Amino acid sequence: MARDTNLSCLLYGPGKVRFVDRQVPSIEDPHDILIRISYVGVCGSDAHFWTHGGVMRKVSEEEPLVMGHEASGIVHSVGPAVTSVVPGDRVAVEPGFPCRRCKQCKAGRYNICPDMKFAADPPGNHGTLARFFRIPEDFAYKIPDSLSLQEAVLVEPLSVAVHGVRTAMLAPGQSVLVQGSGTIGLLAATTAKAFGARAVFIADINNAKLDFAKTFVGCDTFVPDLTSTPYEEAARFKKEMDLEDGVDVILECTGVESSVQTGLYASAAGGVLVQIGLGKADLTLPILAMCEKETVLKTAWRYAPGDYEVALELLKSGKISVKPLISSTVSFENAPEAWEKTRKGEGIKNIIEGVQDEHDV
Amino acid sequence: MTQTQTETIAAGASEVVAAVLYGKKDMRIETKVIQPPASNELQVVVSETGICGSDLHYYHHGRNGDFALRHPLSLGHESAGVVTAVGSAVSDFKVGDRVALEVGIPCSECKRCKKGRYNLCPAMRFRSSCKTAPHFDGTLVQKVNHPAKWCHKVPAAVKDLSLAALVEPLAVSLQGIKRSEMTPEDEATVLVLGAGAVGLLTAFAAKKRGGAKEVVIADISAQRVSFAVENGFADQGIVLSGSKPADVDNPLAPAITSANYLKEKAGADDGFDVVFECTGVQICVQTSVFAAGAGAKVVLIGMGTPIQTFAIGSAATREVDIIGVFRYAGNYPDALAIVAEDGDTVGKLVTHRMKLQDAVDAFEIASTPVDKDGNLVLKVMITE
Repeated sequence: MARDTNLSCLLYGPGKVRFVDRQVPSIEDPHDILIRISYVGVCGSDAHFWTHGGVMRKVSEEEPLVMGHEASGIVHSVGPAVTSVVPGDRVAVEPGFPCRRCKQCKAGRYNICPDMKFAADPPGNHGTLARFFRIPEDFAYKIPDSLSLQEAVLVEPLSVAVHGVRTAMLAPGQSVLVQGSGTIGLLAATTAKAFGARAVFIADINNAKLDFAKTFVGCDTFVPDLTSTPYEEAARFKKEMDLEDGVDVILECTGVESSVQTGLYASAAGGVLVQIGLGKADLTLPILAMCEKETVLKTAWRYAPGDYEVALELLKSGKISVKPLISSTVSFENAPEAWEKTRKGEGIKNIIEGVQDEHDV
Repeated sequence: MTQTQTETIAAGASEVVAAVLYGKKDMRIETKVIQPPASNELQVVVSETGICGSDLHYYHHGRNGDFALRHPLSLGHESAGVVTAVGSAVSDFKVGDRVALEVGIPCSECKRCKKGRYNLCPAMRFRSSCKTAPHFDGTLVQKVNHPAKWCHKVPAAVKDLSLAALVEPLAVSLQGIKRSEMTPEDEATVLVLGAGAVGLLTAFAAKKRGGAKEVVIADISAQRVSFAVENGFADQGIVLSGSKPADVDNPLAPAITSANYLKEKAGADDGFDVVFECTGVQICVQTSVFAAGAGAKVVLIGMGTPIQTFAIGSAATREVDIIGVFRYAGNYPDALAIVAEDGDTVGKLVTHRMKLQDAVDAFEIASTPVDKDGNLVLKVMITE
């Protein structure tokens, strides 16, 4: 019957998707809850999985994997020790479960737990593109009534942006350059504004994306010339934006080598670049220029304690609205369409509907 | 084995319609599969289910006090129906028998069960309650499998199965009468606070079984009070005013005023011999103590705020006993006998009937004191 099925969307290799009815997860740990998934967002990594079968680790015929990690849903059932949510609660999902016992977890840096079980991370960590998804209760966050379940899908990427901004230790009155006007860049820029930056600049090679940023974020934009050099582009940026000294904070959301180099050149003395975006495994950096200015290079990985709460507060207070980022919704069975759209750069955030109820009565 | 039994056991699983609560204000009609009854069970087609305040609490809040919904659950526990299949080890029921369902299943082996106080069994599993998990589905389902031991045959004289469904709340009232230890010899003057379904049934039972000389019922709703007196549930009705200003210096003053008013109007200068508190509301509990005469009993049937203030001194120094009541133990047979004899009166409590498919509408109606046409809402029955 409808109640006992768990239709799931699995990837078996590049371009190979199958819809399988898996077992409904049972609640074993008393603090676990079962969520009925309402919507799942598509991330750049999902597009990468679709074309390459994975990023660092890959899926296979023998070890297929349920996709999806940006999710919202409704609490379906709760274990006996659960006190923070009840069935019927609308929640955003934090999709990575650390071990809670290692040194990093105990130091509060659970995002870098060596034993992290992250949704849709091969092998074996099934993701959220299923009817039901089981999580510990503290990884479910009740969303305000003013936030729709579709918007709640963006709490995950917003938390990535928040983590980046908090890693930069952005202080009110500082200037910020955001590189990349994709979902993460847009959210990083708007978060930087919410955090009190006096000026936010966003750079991208795509004019259409920058046009969107102008209205969504409300900031100045810059188009780097790829035929020039990072050093020259950084100088041109500083001149055009009237920034003699450069910017205090750079939020690098592309992972592209030339962009990272440009950002480092654009930093003011003592400035901070936070690497959020992921690209090539190894990069060349202008280390001498960095040393001369005592530029700080920090890295940010997913989200750590408090980031989800800050993201939700930004949404609840209305300081940030993510609705304009939702570009399309497809039904569950058409998930690959959403992956294709994202792969082709169509839309900003494409979302997939959760499994719908069969109306048999 | 009779032909009928062989056929029904071989029938296998079947699909049934159920009303399932997924969270607050989220009750859905869906189908589920029900297996054949176990050897000690009966499979019963649920004909009538009354909606209770606890069902409404789960529906509106997803919890009832400390007990929160932990997974989807069917509500409903005041039910009666018809046997449609009989387990292999059951010999005293047959297909077609009408039964009232006693939905609390105790262990039957512990000290309290052996003493007959099975309502207090620590291992009690009660349908539709979220007190224990996993929860035990209620009776808002087309068919349920239930231990034959906890099914009671409905006497032929009971005209309608809705009366058999009323046996559940009536059993609560009878438990209250039993715990009060009142007897006809006492010729008691009884006060019932609250004229909802339980208050009305308690008032009726106080006369029918408790042999009360005079039963006075009070409520803030004039409509309910009139109903009680006009339909033979009580001898006298008194309307109390709903809200009273709280006096910081004397927080119990409003209750004292109400108690004096009740005693005066009822001509009970010495106080009432038994007070059945059927609201759970703090001011009524306070009033109960003041309205009780010296040496009297206050029986707490209504369930309200778990922590309350009341005049313990007034109770203790006048030897007024405060007696708790929780559900029922061994009251079903007597309740069935009462509805067999007085079904016409008791049946008047059923003010609304709706089908299982319309369970959500039924719950919404049951949540209001009067329906949209201004008619009194007392007991809403959900029928098959």
